Amino acid sequence: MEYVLSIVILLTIYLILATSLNVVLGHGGLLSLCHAGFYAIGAYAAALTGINLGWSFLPTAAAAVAIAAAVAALLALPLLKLRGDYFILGSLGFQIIIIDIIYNSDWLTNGALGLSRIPRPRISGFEAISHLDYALLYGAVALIAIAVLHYITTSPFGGALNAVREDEVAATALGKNVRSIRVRAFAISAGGAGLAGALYAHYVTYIDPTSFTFTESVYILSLVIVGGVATTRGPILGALLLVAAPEMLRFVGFSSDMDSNLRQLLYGLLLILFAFVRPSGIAGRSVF
Amino acid sequence: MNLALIAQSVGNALATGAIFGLMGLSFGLIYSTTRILHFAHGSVYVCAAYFFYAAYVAADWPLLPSAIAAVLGAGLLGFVVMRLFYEPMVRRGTSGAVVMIASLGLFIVIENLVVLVFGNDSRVISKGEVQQGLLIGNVYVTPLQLASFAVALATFAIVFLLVTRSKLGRGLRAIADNPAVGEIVGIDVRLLNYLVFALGSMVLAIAAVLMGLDIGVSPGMGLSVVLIATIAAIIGGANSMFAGIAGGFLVGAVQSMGVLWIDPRWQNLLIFSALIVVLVVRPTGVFGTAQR
Repeated sequence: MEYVLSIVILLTIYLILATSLNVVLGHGGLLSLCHAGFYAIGAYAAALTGINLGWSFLPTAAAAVAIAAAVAALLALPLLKLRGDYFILGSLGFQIIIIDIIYNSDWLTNGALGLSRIPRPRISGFEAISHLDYALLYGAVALIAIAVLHYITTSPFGGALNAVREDEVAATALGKNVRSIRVRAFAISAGGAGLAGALYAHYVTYIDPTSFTFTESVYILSLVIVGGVATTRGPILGALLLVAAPEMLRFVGFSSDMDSNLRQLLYGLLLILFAFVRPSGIAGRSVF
Repeated sequence: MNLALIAQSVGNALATGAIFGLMGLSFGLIYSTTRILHFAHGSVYVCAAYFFYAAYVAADWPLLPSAIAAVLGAGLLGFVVMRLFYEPMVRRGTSGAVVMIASLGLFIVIENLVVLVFGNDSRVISKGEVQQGLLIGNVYVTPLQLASFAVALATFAIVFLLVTRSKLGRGLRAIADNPAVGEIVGIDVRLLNYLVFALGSMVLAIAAVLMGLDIGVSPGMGLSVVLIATIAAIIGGANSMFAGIAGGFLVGAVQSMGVLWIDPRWQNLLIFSALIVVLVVRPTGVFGTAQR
């Protein structure tokens, strides 16, 4: 039971990551490879405010969202000048730069050693201790986050964002401020990743830079691609399939030294399969 | 700061730059003609290094035949990857973003296959030759560094002649310029795409052999190689087949000379910041042309 709950907790985190990436990737049409960078910023923001300032869960999570979104808005200034392959490469560059800065800023982040003894989530009198506490709290947070992101992407703002993706020139001609729409979408998306980072930090209570590398960005990207871009259920399906399903394989005796490699292998094959057979994902709209 | 130290850094920059130049050239050849963000290029490097390991160490072949086997093996792999993997997608008009995602998938698949076959440990590729360092002026170099530099220069020259003088090269330059027009005037664009993948992979395999002799190989090396190759090609100039060589020397210089002024652990930051500055300020690359 504990094991199943731990998967549920992990799933809530990836649901938020996938849904938030979908804002720029699906609705915005921008293939960003630095989502794990914002995930890291959120995790470190929550950890540092929790450890050093003794903040409880809601303020640390708010700080995580705000700082990740602010950094994203800043990075968007150069990044959103790029298109196509160059945007992909630029976002990849920022992914590596963010993690490099975290890795080398020992005075703040404790570098490669990471931050330990991150407080568990506290909200007034309640403190999450058991896996069930976590699953309930994080499930509620994920639900709210997904609802908020769904609301944003179906609002007039979301409509404008989709319009900009479909036809930048036409959107400009209709008086939309393309640049401002994209910057806001990028910041909202990063804020979601920041929230997921806060959940992760308060759950594992120890973080180091290796959890947030380029590989992690690719993993989050694959959740959205496999599930389907530009719809609300797409990333949810992707996270269910790629986070939960491989864990279930353990129950059918799929465990050995090579376990993680085989799992990676399957996940790589799945990415290829989707690119070949169904580029829009299980439930997605055709965007790219 | 003393001159000897600077001279030594210049020496290191040239040695590293030659290898990075090979990587940049290999990526630039492929990207400038096919416009595919070929992340699985990193896997081609890893495979080439393991081919070389298998021939030179495991099968105990002599050096030259082992190196040739690795280069030919990589060329074949590149050919097959374009023919069976990218071509079907390109033909169906799959967008560049989806092709890139598939490429990432292929990268993950090959990396893990290599782990399953060879294990996760790094391998030393050396038969224990003692390498006495040489002093040239004030600069300390190893014979391997000298040989690598010479091999890299020879490779640049051969590829340059191939692309500028041969019929194959004329076709490649034509499709780099405009594939649609190339097709109209009767160039077999598909065949040229396979061949440029083979050529790029062979150039990369030369880097794999040279680096393998120096630092060995492990399955996880692919990512850093493809990043350097991409950065060198883009910083050099994404529209040019050869600018990747200059880009490679530039990245090598930043990495080796940067140590003089900046803590080496900020190297990555420096290189990737340079990438972003170039992308934003001068998307055609430092040495590139504005064509296409």
